[in-house]
Amino acid sequence: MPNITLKGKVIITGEIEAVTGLHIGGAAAGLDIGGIDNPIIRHPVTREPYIPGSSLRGKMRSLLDRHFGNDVNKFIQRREPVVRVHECETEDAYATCAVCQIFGVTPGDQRRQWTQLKPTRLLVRDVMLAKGHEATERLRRAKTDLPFTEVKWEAVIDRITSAAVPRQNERVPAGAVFAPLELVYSLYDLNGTGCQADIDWLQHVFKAMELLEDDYVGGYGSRGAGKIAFTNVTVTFKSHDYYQGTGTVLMLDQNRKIGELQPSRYAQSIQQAVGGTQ
Amino acid sequence: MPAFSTYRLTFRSPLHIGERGVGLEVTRIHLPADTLFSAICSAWRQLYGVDALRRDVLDWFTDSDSLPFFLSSAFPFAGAVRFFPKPLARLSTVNVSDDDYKAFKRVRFVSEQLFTAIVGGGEITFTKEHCINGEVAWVTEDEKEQLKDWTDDATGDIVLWKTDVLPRVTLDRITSASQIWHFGEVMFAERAGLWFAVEFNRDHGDELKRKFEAVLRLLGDSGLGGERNAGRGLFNLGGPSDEPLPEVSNPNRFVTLSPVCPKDAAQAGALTREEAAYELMPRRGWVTSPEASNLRRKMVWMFAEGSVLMGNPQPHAGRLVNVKPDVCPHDVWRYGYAFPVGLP
Ligand SMILES: [Zn+2]
Repeated sequence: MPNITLKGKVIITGEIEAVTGLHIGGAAAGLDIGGIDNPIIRHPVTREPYIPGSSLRGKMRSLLDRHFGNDVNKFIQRREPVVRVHECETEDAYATCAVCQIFGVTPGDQRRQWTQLKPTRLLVRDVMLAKGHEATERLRRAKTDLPFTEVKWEAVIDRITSAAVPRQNERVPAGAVFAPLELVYSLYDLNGTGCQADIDWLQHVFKAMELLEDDYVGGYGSRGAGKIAFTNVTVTFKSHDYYQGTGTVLMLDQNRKIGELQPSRYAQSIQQAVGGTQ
Repeated sequence: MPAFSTYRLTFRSPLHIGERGVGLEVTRIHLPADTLFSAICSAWRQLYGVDALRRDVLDWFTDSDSLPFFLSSAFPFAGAVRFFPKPLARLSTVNVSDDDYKAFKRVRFVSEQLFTAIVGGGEITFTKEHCINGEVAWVTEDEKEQLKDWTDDATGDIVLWKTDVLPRVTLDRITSASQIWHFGEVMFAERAGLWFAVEFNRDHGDELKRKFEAVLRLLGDSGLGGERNAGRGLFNLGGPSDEPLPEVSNPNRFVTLSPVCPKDAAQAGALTREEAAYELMPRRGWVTSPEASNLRRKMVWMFAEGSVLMGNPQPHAGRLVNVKPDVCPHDVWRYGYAFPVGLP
């Protein structure tokens, strides 16, 4: 039986600023909020808009796939519209594929035979509107049609008649701030082989965040929506000793923008920290 | 009298407690003790290794009479108010008018004050006006006042948690076409979450409790329940506190705060005799160990929390049950010990 043990967790926290309006679609059953054609996702208890961790994580994965030129081989949906993603099919490919290591592969019968399979390294939390933040209070005071959002009318061109059909589209306005952002990246040891590769791959998480800033989250990206910026990014490391109650949280960086982060320096500090317990 | 350590989990993200295999759209509100135990075992393995998991936990449960700890399921709390499962027995000391009977049937959780009153056998009257959170939780007048900060402006109801079915999207890597699927999750209001109690066996020393709490801290950053990669089930750990649980002297029956899998047919018969009142729930799902993912566990039936079972509450009825699928390379243990609160 393989022995997979945790060496520690890198916790990346921060804020997300909506540089342009943000549209992350909610359930079609948005009828209770006034019959918007195209509502956004809201927290069911507070009814405030938020950014689902799965949206951020999915986008980060697909941007990294593109960055590495990974082939797209796995069908999630065969009927139209076809949905394909990348997932390594052999254990050898998986061993060196940062994307499948960081984001995981779906368990399958053939993968059960893999002996080098590690748990998914990265999880990403939902990000709520920043509580008490000046930007949130500004939105609250703005008294828009719907709490915290604006409704944009957009013309959709009917493909057959070429008539412009007006359509309502709900957005979180530019300037909104979401916090806390939280990404948790785990380092695992497999049968005493250490976690060096996990430490090396951490840089790709920051790369994916950078790629995401240059892309968009949610819908209507081609029309300028969904541009975000990560701000006040803080990177900490919680070692195995920390969870055991004998170590402290190691501060790697504080209140940075993406361009200011120094992944290679974090890797060095983490190596030193886990070196002591290996 | 056993001493209990109570832990509070305040969630930083929504929670998906599914019956996997039944569909992702459904979620439970509470976290059954067997699910919690499995999460603890896999975190124990991650933190201390497979051998330590066997040595510290599993071997004691399977090969000895000195069980290291007992777990309750995790139930909601908000502020200082803890909730308990509604006992499933006909409660002769609870007065329910015919008009309110349907509403009473719908209640799934009762507050600590009401649970204590029910266990103590005192006379209480049910009123629908004291039901909150969509009428699934019943509280006292005094507790309703304590919880008034959680009042939802739109409906006037006190809302401590809410379940929702949310869309999740996978995008095509080339065309950005999307596939949508749905899954259910529960979100707690601020300063609300889940609590559970542990009864530690003191013969196992302080080290056991220290390790147990380390494992809980790790789970807080790894997540409980399903959809953990999407950040589900992350929590901040509160406690331990040593709040007592209600107690009666010389009980001959009990309500369980955890699912129970009887040791054998004789124990099952004894537990269900006379005025027992119980609900059976199927425990199914997937094996979650790294070497056996994508394998379905053997299904096992357990008495649900809130079941009223016959017999002295001590020693704890139940067992660990092996739900290992035939092709799985290792045993898969499911926790099924009663967490009893005596009833008169
Ligand atoms: Zn891959």
